[in-house]
Amino acid sequence: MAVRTQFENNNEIGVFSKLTNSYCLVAIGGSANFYSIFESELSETIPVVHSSIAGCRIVGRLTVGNRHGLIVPNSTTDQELQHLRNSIPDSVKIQRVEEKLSALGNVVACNDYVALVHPDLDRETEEILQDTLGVEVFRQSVAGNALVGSYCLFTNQGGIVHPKTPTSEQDELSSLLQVPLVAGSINRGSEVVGAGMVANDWSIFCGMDTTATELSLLEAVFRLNAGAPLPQQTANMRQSLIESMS
Amino acid sequence: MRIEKCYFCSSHLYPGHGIQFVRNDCKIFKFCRSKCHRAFQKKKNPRKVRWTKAFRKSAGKELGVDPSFEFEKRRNAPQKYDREAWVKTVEAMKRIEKIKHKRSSHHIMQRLKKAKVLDKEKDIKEVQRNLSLIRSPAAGLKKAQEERMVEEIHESDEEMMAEEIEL
Amino acid sequence: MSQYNFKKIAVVPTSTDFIDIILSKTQRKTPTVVHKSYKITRIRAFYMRKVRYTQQNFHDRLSQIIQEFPKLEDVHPFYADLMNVLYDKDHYKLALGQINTARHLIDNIAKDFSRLIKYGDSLYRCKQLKKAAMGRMATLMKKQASSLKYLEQVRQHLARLPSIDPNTRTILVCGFPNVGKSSFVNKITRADVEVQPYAFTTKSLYVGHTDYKYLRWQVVDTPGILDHPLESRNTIEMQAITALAHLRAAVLYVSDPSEQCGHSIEEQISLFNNIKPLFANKPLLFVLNKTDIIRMEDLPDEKRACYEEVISDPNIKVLEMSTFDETGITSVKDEACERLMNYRVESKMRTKKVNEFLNRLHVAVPQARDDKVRLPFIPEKVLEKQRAMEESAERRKKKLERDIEEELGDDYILDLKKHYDLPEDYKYDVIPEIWQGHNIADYIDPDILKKLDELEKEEELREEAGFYDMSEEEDDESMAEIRELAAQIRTKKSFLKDQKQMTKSSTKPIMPRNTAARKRGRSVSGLRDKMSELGVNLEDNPNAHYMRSVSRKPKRMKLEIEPKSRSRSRSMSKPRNEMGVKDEAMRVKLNKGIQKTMKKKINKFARKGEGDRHIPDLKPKHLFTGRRGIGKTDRR
Repeated sequence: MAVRTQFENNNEIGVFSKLTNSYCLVAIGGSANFYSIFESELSETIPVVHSSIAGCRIVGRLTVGNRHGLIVPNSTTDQELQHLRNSIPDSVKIQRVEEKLSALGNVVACNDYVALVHPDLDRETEEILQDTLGVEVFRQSVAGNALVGSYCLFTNQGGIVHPKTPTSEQDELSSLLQVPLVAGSINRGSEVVGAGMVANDWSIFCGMDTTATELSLLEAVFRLNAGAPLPQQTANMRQSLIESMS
Repeated sequence: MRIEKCYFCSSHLYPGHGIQFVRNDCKIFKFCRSKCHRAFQKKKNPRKVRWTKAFRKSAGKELGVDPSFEFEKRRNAPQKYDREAWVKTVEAMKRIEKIKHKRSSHHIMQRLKKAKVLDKEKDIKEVQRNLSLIRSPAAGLKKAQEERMVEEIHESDEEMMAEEIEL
Repeated sequence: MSQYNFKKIAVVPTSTDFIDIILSKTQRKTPTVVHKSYKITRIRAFYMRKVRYTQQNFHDRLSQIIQEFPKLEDVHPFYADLMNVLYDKDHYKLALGQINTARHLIDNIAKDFSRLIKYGDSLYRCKQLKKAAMGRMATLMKKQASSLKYLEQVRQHLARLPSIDPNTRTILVCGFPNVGKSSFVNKITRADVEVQPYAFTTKSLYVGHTDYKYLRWQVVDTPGILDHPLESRNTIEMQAITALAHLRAAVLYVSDPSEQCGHSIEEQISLFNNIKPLFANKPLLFVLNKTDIIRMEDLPDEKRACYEEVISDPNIKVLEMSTFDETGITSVKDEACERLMNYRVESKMRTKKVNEFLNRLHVAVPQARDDKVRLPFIPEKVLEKQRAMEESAERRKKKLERDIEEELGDDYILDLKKHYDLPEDYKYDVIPEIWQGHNIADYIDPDILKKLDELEKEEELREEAGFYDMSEEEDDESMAEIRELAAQIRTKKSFLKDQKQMTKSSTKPIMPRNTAARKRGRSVSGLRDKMSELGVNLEDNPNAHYMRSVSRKPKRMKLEIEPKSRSRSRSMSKPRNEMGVKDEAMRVKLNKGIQKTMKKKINKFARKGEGDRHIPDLKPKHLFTGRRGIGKTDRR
């Protein structure tokens, strides 16, 4: 299910929320609108949790997690940590890490099996990532950007990377991650795909500005419309992609 | 809310108090008051400044390493809230606190014991050296002389008596 | 959206308004007071300024007009042609050209007259020259009345032109009048073009937008075209021709086989052939409308034969539709869009720009690097829900946080604990955070009790081993005495130390004037007290004079001798304010007198003090009362 939404007039959804296969974190905003969009879609299957990290709303950029675990930065207060623990089921491990690059969401991109991390990330953090999230970790950059979490987003089904990623790099990343990848943009041409949307294996939430072409590509890549295999679907969209991009 | 420790003097930092410095390598320093902040800005090492807890511990003035200190530490993996566990924890905290207090005060008493011996030596030396400040060496000299004279008179009297008897 | 937006052009005033605007501005914005007694240079400057200012304003306004109106050479050829059709290129250029010349002429007038004013020898003459200059400028502007009026009309019309983007994906609908072009546009877009059952309902271009394959498509509705040579076409038809000629669009030629539009099939076909050159290099669709009345198959043979030529052309796709019962409309739209898209993509793929986004068309498919299966994780509940949604369209309405917020209004408080994964009875517990300066969170540990038991066991062992015994041997009696003595010695020492300090460390003059000299501290009684304190008996000592002090007589009486030399006498003298002052009391008295005389002077001049600064009124009334206008209170 693909949904367009906004957080207080801001299209960068991935900044204010974090979505995984077993829980969803949502920033505490001025009203319940943003929360309710996630609630209506997800609350029957996974917990949708109002949360803040170090008193900030940018939960999506500060945390990293998947089905197995959640990692929060050092600046998280004890109370916030307790709140998360109380809200998220026990099958999900929660861990606070002392990491210099505290915006974990920007420096780590992961699904339930693999993670791409910023080349400068601590060794210890890498180990914690392996233990808590149960993932293989690869130090990589995407299209010359070290902030892999901001410039790519992938689930177990597929992923989207920075629109300027060369084809060869896409292939390399795809073999590492073992999911099909496509270069694309979001929110009407925004390059920060990781910050512009959130996704899990069965749903996508993206900014209000996202165009129909972008959304259809996302739906195909994240396999929301069970049907033809991905290459065939994108081939169908080829023409409208070309038209919209120039 | 969390009670933090001052980086410099290790005192408690209650919410809304103190000042915080974040170095560009992401390390956070919290200070309880301007005294500590200034000391830090002057690049003083808290282990070498005598009034800090860090100095007292490293210099052996206070108990530094003990299993009872191991209970209190920042936990990075949270536990799910459970009323019984929390009640038990608070109870346990009281007991731990008691033991901690006992041990550290014992450590201090042990140190004070040594001081007593030294004190004694010092007192003796003081009395030996400076008694003249409160009592003149001449004090009681006259009395003694008089007594001696009286005795001598006594003795001479007795001798005279003896002589008389002999006579 | 469109870069061609003519709505921003400023209003062009009529010539009289124009003159009024400029002259009143001159009146308002330049100085108005001048006297003949002024220096002649000043008078000249005064009038020169007026002339220059008026000229500058005329110049600015006219340049604004010239700049804002689109230049036919710069705009897209479609717009250039359209404007030619609508406003007549020559007329338009002429009007702008005249405005331009007027601007030059006004500049020249101002230049000439300010030169003349330079030689004006009186106020009167300068004024007359100014008047003449302004008069000539006004006359010049009056002559521009017709072109200004024309430009204003053009501006109003331009602002109402549909904003057609000539470069985007466009579908162009054309054909005879009354064949159903506007109905078709109304059906596929939300443009709401007027539809009436007579010819030339649509008199200008209309634009609407539709969606196909996630993209926006611009649909342009054109006025009907009649079948006659280009020269004899009127303005309405020419608009359609312009659009056909310049927009790179998919063209829908709508034809009416039922001939209800009032034109025979032959006419329609001949028009089609007539304007065929305009369809070159464009995807073209031949649409037969009004199938609800008559279908292609039902046409009589001779009429069908007319279409034969079109049908046989491989480049032309013939489709049927009915805007009345909406059959075939979507297929026509889809076909048009599809053809145009293919055409555009093909031409784009031939350009260099394609390399920039080629990577985005690529799907990177992973090559297996191990045998591990990485399956997606979709909970059963999600699948169930999706199935349920497919079955029944309406969704079970759940009460969301947003609904609760709306219901409660201002009383709404976000309840974070509502969805805690905890037993109901202690979900809402207040979790303690601090206990006696310790964070409880720091102690939370699943096996804290086990560790604590270990610690307590260790503690017991220690106690048994006598670790905490603090046996101290008691001091014996002599030691206690020594302690006592040592304490006494220390107090004595500190006392002595203090005394020494007091005498030594004082920085004051040794003998202040108002104190008497200190008496000698030593005395027999003092000695006696001190020694007895130290335990020495001084009584019964026949050789000592402890009992009374014996004052010694001076050996020789000192004689009062007059000072011998002058220098000596100076050194003996006192400062003048002390000369003749007998004692302390007298000095104090004299001092008071001096102060009194000083006071006298201040009183005499009614001063507050010695200072010479005097502000008679700290809050003058005129600065602090009355109504205040705009501006600061200290500027009045």
